[in-house]
Amino acid sequence: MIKGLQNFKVIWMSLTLMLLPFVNEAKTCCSNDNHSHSLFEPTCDLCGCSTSAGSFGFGSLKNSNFVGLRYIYQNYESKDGIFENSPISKESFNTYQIWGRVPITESFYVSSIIPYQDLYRTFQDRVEHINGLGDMNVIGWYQFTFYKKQKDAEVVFSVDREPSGHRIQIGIGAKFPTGAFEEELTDRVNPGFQLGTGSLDGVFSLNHGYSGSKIGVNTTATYYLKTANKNDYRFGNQFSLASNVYYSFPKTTHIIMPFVGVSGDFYNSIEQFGEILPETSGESFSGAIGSEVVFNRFTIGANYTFPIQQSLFGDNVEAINKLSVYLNLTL
Amino acid sequence: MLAISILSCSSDDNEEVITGSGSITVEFDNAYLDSDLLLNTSSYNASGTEKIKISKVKYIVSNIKLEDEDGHVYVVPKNESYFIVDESNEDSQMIELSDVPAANYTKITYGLGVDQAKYLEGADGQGDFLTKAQEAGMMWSWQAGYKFFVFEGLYTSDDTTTETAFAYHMGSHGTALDNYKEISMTLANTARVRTDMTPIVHIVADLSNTLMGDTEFKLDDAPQIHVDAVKSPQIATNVSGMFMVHHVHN
Repeated sequence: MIKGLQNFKVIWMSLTLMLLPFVNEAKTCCSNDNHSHSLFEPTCDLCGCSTSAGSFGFGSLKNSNFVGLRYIYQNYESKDGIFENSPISKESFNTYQIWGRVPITESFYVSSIIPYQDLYRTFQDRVEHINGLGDMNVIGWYQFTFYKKQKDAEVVFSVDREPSGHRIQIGIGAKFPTGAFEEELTDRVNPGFQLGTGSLDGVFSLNHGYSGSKIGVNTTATYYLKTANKNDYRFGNQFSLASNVYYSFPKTTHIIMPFVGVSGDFYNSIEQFGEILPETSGESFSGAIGSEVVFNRFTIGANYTFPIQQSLFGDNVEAINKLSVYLNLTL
Repeated sequence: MLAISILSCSSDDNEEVITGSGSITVEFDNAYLDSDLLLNTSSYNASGTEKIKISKVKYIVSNIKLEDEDGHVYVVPKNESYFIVDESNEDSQMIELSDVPAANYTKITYGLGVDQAKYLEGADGQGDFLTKAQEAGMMWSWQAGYKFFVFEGLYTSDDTTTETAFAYHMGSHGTALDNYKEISMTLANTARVRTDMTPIVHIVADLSNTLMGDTEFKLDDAPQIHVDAVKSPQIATNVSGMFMVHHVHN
C-alpha cells in the first residue's frame, strides 16, 4: 500500500507538472466557454459494485446539462479458490445506464445515473449469470465559477464578467440500494460480482475544471462512504482520484475532442459483522483514452480504460480493461 | 445532513441476544506451499533436489474445542470427536459439528491423532472409530496403535533418478511413545454460530511442512519412516505446524 501510494504520488506529480503549462495558458481565451465537464470522475467503484454507476464518471466532456444513454463493458479475471493454482474464472460486466444532469439554478445542478446490470462469470465448467437493476445514484453539485480580474485601465464593454475558464464543483450525493445483493455470492473470491451493494452509501466529490479555447483539464477527487447492508456486510470505503486532458478540433459541422487521462482508486477492506475480511482491500491505477464528437445537440463518446498497475483482493482479482460508449442529448 | 443520516444508519449489533444452538463446519483444505494439493499429478519441490508426487494424505483430527469471545469453551462430546481427513475423499474434508451453542467463536483447538486417554479405554472404548480407522488404513495393529498421519508417494532427486516410493506414517507407539499433538488457533474473524447460520472455518494444511518443517527430512536418507523413536516425534511436530486458519465464512 505504501509503495502504491508512493507510485501514485509520482504519477500524480508528473501529471501536475504536465498540466501546469495549460493552466498558465488561461489568458487569451475569448470564447465564453462555460461548459462543464467532469468525465473522469471515479473510474470504477470496484469493491462494492464493480459495476457501480460511478464508473467512468458522472458526466461528459462538454455538456453541462444532458440526458443520455451509456453502455459500459468491463472484464476481470478472478481466482476461483484461495490457492496459487486455483482455476481462473472470467467475469464480464455489461452495464446499461440512463444518465443525466439537470440544472436547478445557475450554480446548482443534480446528476443521476440509473444502471441496468447484465453480469457473466465463466468458470471452467459453468457460467453464472445475474442481471437486473443496479444501484442508482443522485448527486447534487454546486459550482463556483471564477472570473478574470479586471484591469484598472480596462474599458468595460459588457456588464458580464469574463470567466477565467476555471471552476470548482462540489458534489454531495447518495448511492441507493436499488440493486439486489446476494450474500451467497460473497463466498466467491471476487466480491464485486453483485448487482448492487445492498447499502446506502454517501458520495462526496470535489472537481476542478479548466476549459480553454482548445484545451480542457479536469481533476476530480471522490470519496465513497459505505455502510453495512442487511447482511452486515460492508464494502470498504473508497477514494478515487482522476484527471484528464482534452483538446478541441472544431470542424464546420462538428467538434472532435480526443482526451487522455489517468486515475487511481484506493479501497479499504470489506467488513462483515464489524470485522475486517482478509484480502479485500486494494488499489489500482489506470490510464484512459477516448474521444467525444459533438454535433448539434448530440454528443457521442467513447472511452477505453486500461490498468497500469493494480493490486486487488490480495492479487486474486485482476481488472483487464473497460470500455464505455455513450450518446447524450444536450438540454 | 446526508452525512449525518448515513452515519446514523450504521448498525450496532452488540446488544444482540444469542440463544439456541446451530452447526459449524470445519474444512480441512490440503495444500503444498501456495498451491492446492493435487494427488499423483503434480510434482512438488521438497528438500534439496528432491521432487515428490503425493499419492496419499490422511490424518486424524480429534477432540475439537471452540472458544467464544467471552472465553467460554464448547467441547465436542469426546465420543463424537474423532475424524479422518482423507485428501482422496472430499466429504471427509468437511467436518460438520451440530448442536453447537450459538455464540461468536474466536478460537479453535483440536488434536492431531488419538490421545492416550482414549487409547487406554481399550478396543471397546473406541466405538466405531476403530473400524473406520482400520478400513482407512490408519492402524498398525491394536498393540502398536493408530497411525495419526499417512503421507505417501513417489520421489526423485539428483541421487535417485528413478521414481522411488516413499511413505511416512506417524503415530503414538502403543503407550511407549506419545505423539499426540494439540493445535490451537485464533480465527481470522469470528465464527458466528446461530440457529440459522452455519459458519465454515476454512483451515489450510500445508503438507510441505512434513518434510520441510522444524526438522528437514531428506527422502534419500529415509524414504520410509514408520515407527521411529527419534524421527516420529519430529514428524509429529512438523505436521502439527502445517495448519493455518485461512478465513471464516459466516
